[in-house]
Amino acid sequence: MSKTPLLEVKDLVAAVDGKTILNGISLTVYPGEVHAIMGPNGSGKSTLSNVLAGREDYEVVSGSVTFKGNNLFELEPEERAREGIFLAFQYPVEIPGVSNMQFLKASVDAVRKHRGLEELDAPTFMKLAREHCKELKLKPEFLKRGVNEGFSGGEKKRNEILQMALLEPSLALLDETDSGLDIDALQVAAEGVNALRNEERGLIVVTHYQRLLNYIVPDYVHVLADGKIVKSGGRELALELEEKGYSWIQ
Amino acid sequence: MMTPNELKQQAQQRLQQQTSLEWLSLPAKAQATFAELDMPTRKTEAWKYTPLTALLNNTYLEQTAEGAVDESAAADRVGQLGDVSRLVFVNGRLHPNLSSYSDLENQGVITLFSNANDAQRELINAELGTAFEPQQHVFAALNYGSIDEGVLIQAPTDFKVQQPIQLVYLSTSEGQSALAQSRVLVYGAAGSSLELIEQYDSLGDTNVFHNHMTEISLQANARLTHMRLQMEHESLSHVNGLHVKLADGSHYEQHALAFGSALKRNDINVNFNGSNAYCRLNGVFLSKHKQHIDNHLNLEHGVPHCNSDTVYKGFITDSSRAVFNGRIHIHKHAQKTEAHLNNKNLLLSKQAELDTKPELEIYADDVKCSHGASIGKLDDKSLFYFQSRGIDRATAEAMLCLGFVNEMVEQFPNEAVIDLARQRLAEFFNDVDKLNHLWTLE
Ligand SMILES: Nc1ncnc2c1ncn2[C@@H]1O[C@H](COP(=O)(O)OP(=O)(O)O)[C@@H](O)[C@H]1O
Ligand SMILES: [Mg+2]
Repeated sequence: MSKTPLLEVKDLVAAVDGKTILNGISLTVYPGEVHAIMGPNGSGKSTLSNVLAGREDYEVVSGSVTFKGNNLFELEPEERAREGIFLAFQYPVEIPGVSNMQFLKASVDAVRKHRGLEELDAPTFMKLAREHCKELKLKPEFLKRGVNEGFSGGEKKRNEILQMALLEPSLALLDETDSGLDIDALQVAAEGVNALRNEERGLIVVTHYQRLLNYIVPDYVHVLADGKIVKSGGRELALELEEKGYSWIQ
Repeated sequence: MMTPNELKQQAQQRLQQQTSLEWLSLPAKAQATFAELDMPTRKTEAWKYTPLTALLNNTYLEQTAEGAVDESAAADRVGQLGDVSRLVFVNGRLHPNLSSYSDLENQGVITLFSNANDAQRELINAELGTAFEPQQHVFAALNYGSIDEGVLIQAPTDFKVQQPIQLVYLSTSEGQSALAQSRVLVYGAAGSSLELIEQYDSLGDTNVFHNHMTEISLQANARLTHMRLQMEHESLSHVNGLHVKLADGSHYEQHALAFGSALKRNDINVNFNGSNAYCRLNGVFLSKHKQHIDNHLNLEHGVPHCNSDTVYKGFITDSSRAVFNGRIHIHKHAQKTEAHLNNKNLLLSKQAELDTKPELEIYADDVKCSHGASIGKLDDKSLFYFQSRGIDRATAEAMLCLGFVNEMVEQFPNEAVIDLARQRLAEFFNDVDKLNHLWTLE
C-alpha cells in the first residue's frame, strides 16, 4: 500500500444555514482502501459526501481536506470531478430533455480532456456505454431517455454506477447506493462497484444498513453520529452494529 | 410614429380592394365589423402587455407584399420534412414551383378558394369565420375583410391522410415594408384523420407584417395532429389566430414552437361543441434580444365530458418580453370536464420581462381542473449534478436550457419536424451570449 493518502480529512466542521452539521470529522483514505461510513438518518453522511464533492450550500467552517496532496477546497466541483472525485448521489436529480447519452458524453469528454486523453468519437462512446449498461442490466433504450427522468429508484442508482464506470474516478463516494434496491439490483450494483476496485482507487461507501457490505467488503468501518465519527473499526464493526442497533453507540 | 387611428385608416385601405371571390360572404361582414373596431392600445385588456409599436413605426399596411422569391434559397428553407404534401406561400401568395400537392388536390382534399366548386364554396361560407367571430379581434376582421385567396383542407368522411400536409408561410422583403395575409380552413369530416404542419419562416431580414388565420372544424370522431413552427427572422411582425371547433369525440392535438420577433402575437381559441372531445395544446416559446412574444390561449368548455391538457413553456432572456395568458372557461353545463393548464418559464435575465396569467373560470360543479404558472431560473441542484460530473458551469447552464426547451420539442409526433426544430433552435441559441456552447453539444 502506498504511503501518501488519497484523501485526508482533518477536523472538518461544516454548516448549513448557520447550523453546524459536521462537528469535526477526521478520516484518511489510502489508495486501494474501502471505507464504510455508517450512521443513523440525519447523522451527516450525505452532508459529508456533498461537502467533499463541492456543493455550495454547505459552508466549511473549519478543518481541512487534502485530495492527492492538494487543498480540495480550492477546487470547483467540476475540477474535483475531473481530478477524480465521484459522488454517487443518494437522490440523483432528474433532468428532463437532456438525454442520458448526451449527459454522459459531455461528462466523459470533459473529464478525459482534463486528463490529457482524446475525446471518444460518438460510435466508440456509444459502444462503451452500451457495454456498461449490459453489465448493469440496463436496457440500451435507457441511454436515450432524459437523465434519470421517470427512472425507478433502482435505475437511478444503477445510472450513478454507470457514470462512475465511465468516469473511472480515483475516489468514489457512494451515498446510500443500496437504499431502495431489491436484493438482485443490489448485487448488480455491487458487482459494478467491485469491478472498479483496484490498488489505486479509494472507495467510501455510505450506508445505513450493513447489508451492502456483504457485497462490497470494506477494510474499515466508521460510525457517524451527530456529525462526528464516534467509532472506527474493521468490517466486524458493521455486523456488531447490525446486531445491536445504532442506539448502542449513542 | 402613427397613432392607432392612423394605423386603422391605413388598414382600411387594404379592405377596399375588390375581392375576386364574389361568392364569399365573409369579407363584407368582416369589413363592417372592422369599421366598428378600434386598434388595441395599452388600455385594451387583451393587449395590455403587447404594444403595437412595431406596426405604428412602420408602413406595413400601405402595400401588400409581392410573391417573388429566390427559389433555390426558398427550396432549402422549405424542403426538410421528407415525404409530405406541401404548399408554399410567399408573402401569403401560393408559389406553385415550391409546392407539390397534386395528389391531394386531385382527391379534393386540398383546394384553393379560387378553385372551389359549388359544394366547397358552400362549406367555406358555412364554416369560415364561425370558430371565431371576427368582431372579437381587429386583425381577424382585417384578414377576413380582405380575402382574395385561401386554402381549404377538407378530409372526407373516414379519410385517413397518409402523408403529413405541410403549409409553409415564407415571408421575405428586402425593400419596403409590406403586409402579407393568409388563411386556411381545415375541415375534418366524421372519422377522418389528418396531420398538419404549419411552418412560418423567412429568408433574411423581413420587413413584413404577417397576419394569418387558421380555422379548424373537426366533426364527430375526427382527429387532427397539428404542428406549428414559427421560426421567422426577428425583424418580422406576426399576428396569428388559430381557432378550433370540436364536435363529439373529436381529437385535436397541437404542438408549437415559436421564436419571438419585433411583434408576435398568437391567439388560440378552442371551442368544445360536442361531448367526449379532447384537446392538447403543447407549446414552447422563446424570446431573446429585444423580441416580443404574446400567447393568448382560451379554452371554451361549453359541453360535458370533454378534456383538455395545456402545457406551455417559455424561455425568456436578454431584454426580451413575453406574455402568456391561458384561460380555461367551464360553462355551466360542462359537467365532468377535466381540464389542466400549466405555464412554466425560465427567465434568465434581469432585463427580460414575463407576464403570465393562467385563468380558470368555472360555472359547473362536477369538474376536475387545475391551472398554474411558474417563473424560475436554472435549478442549483441540477447545475451541481452536471458539475459533479466534470461539466463546467457555463456548459451545464446551456445544457439545462436545452433540456428545458427540448422537453417540449421531443414531444412533436414527427421525427423530421423534431430534427428541423432542433436545427433552428441551435441557430437561435448560437448568439445568446451565455449559451453559445450549446449548439456544439448535439
Ligand atoms: N440543505 C440543508 N438545509 C438544512 N438542513 C440540512 C440540509 N442538508 C442537511 N441538513 C440537516 O443536516 C442533518 C444531516 O443531514 P444528512 O447529511 O442528510 O444526514 P444523513 O445523510 O446521515 O441522513 C439533518 O439534520 C438535516 O436535516
Ligand atoms: Mg443521506
